[in-house]
Amino acid sequence: MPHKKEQYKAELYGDAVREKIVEFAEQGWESIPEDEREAWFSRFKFWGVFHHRSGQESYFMMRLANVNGVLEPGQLRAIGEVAREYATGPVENPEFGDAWIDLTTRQSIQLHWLKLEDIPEIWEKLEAVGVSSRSAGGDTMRNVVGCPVAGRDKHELVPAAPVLEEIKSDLRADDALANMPRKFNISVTGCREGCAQDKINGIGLEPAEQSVDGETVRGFNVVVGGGLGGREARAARGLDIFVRPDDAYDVVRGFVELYHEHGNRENRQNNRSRFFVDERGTEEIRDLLVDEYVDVDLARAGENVREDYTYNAGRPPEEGKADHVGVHEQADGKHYVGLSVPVGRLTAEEAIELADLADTYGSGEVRLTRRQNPIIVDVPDLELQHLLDEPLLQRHSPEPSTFERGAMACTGTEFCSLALTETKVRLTHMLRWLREEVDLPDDVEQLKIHYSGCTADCGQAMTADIGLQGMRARKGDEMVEALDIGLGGGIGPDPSFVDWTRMRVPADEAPGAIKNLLETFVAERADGQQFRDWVEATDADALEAALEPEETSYEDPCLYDAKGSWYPFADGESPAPTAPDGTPLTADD
Amino acid sequence: MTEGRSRRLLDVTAYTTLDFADATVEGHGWEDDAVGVVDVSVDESAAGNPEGVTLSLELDGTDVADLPQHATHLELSAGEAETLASALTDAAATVAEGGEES
Repeated sequence: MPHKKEQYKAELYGDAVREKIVEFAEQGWESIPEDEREAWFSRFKFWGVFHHRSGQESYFMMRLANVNGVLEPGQLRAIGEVAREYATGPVENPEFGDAWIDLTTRQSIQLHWLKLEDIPEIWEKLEAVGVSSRSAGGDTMRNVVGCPVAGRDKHELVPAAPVLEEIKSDLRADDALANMPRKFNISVTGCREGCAQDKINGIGLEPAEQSVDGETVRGFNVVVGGGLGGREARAARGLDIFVRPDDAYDVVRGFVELYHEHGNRENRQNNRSRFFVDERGTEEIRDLLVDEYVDVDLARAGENVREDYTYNAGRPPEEGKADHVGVHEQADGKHYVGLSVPVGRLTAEEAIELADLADTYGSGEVRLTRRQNPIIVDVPDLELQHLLDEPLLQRHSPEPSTFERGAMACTGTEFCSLALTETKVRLTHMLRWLREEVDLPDDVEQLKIHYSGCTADCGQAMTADIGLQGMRARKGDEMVEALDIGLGGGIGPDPSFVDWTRMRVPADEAPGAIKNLLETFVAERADGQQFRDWVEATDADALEAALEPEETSYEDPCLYDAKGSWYPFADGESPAPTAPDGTPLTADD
Repeated sequence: MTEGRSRRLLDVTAYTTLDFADATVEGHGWEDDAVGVVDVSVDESAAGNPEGVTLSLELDGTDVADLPQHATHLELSAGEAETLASALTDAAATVAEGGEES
């Protein structure tokens, strides 16, 4: 018996779902039969339309798709304008107000509090500038990630942009491949820094060199079956394949077709591509791929540059870029300027302002990183200082504090039905407090604090210096929101995952624990030693002792919510479900 | 101190049956208080058929120094799960009835 989600998909999926969304939108929220909601909401995800969690019925999130975070001129403005007009909820967020966008860890954008009835109009406005939400969720090829400065990076080893474009226009657009066994992540990068995090994707292409007929050729090595998630995170494994850039698309397509055909569609507990690779093994997959799915000559894996990867590698600043924040020279002599948006949330007005700045000082193009940050590209020398003087760059600075620079957070209980705790507002408060209370040495520019609301780990806590995952704890007589705190994760040449040093630390004691830990680090570290090296060199008991929870002057924004309310910052009853104008609909039938 | 002693084996999300349960763990000559996670799920065969009920328990690794991180999965038939549910319901009723005196 196929899993019920396979049944939903077998009945209707892919491009055909759009017509139903439009139909429901025209007839209103109540036209979706209650007993069919689960099936429809599951299908809607293919079109990037996600129903909010319980208590927020009739409100939707939209995730947008792009390729390696590239937003062409005009696209961010349209997204900001849509957010300003439609992404307005029945209640304000205490930190971010009303109408904002979330930048995601897969170089995408999410809009919240949308009404179903507005979706067709939103599509019209976004698609007019080439922005689509197709294939942004569900069991499908998700947003394809890559180095966000592909084609601009001064040190790019292999041009990745043409491969990414082909994947976008031919592979992801192919409706015959829309229905995958599970969600499937693709990464292609030619950069030397490892910023696309290829090893935590279903298939990753990483830059490499190989000797072919006595000639050194640049291309890609192929790795498959990586992924995060608290339960059995995996680094992708090499298929021992080197592919030339011209043939790279065929190999990606081949593996997608192979997993599409051979992936398990019956047991969803173990059918992500990482388990598929566990089960079949890389040799069997390689043979199958070469024999049946790819019609080009493939060499054995070439020499990669992983050892030089600096992205989230815990290395000292002089060894290279650990992110895209700051001002960096492009291959053409112009500059790109990476802003820091802590926890990835920009107000609609800020998004529009950012689009204006990109027009005024750059080419209008904006790019998004895997750290929930935007980049303005193509800024000529003469314009650089003017851009840096703009008010938006004082708020989301290219020279942020170490804490803000390293922060990421998933959606959390604000909207997500899986999460156990609120994330974005809490981390914002924590960063502010840590910035004031903890002095880090000047040569410690990188400290990644990633916060996920549960073990699904969409906030990538597993690969942080200090990983936070939402839990619950008892404090006194009451249940409170709490954090598991893990240390020692990162990406670099290979992903390493945190060990959870303290579990169920009440959220109001977590900043104190981090402060105590960092003070020990500062006191004990060797000259120039970075946090990750210090954690690795320090005994687990000593780390636990240093990470001592403590109540401090930090005030937690929602300590007692613990997934109990319809919105973490609202008292009283939820107005949902509501009519398009926000009026509560009464359930009188 | 064991390597990786504190990497959770069970997913813990809002769908987890109990994300916080008091527990004690006992061995010969030792006993520890702990907090655990309890989850009930339908066990599927490789072909995706519902085969039975799994009752999973995992104690927080940081609470129990004497044991390596582990989860216990009780694999119950539908009948066994009903027996267990019924015993739990009866016991809970007893506690609820006596609650005012306790």
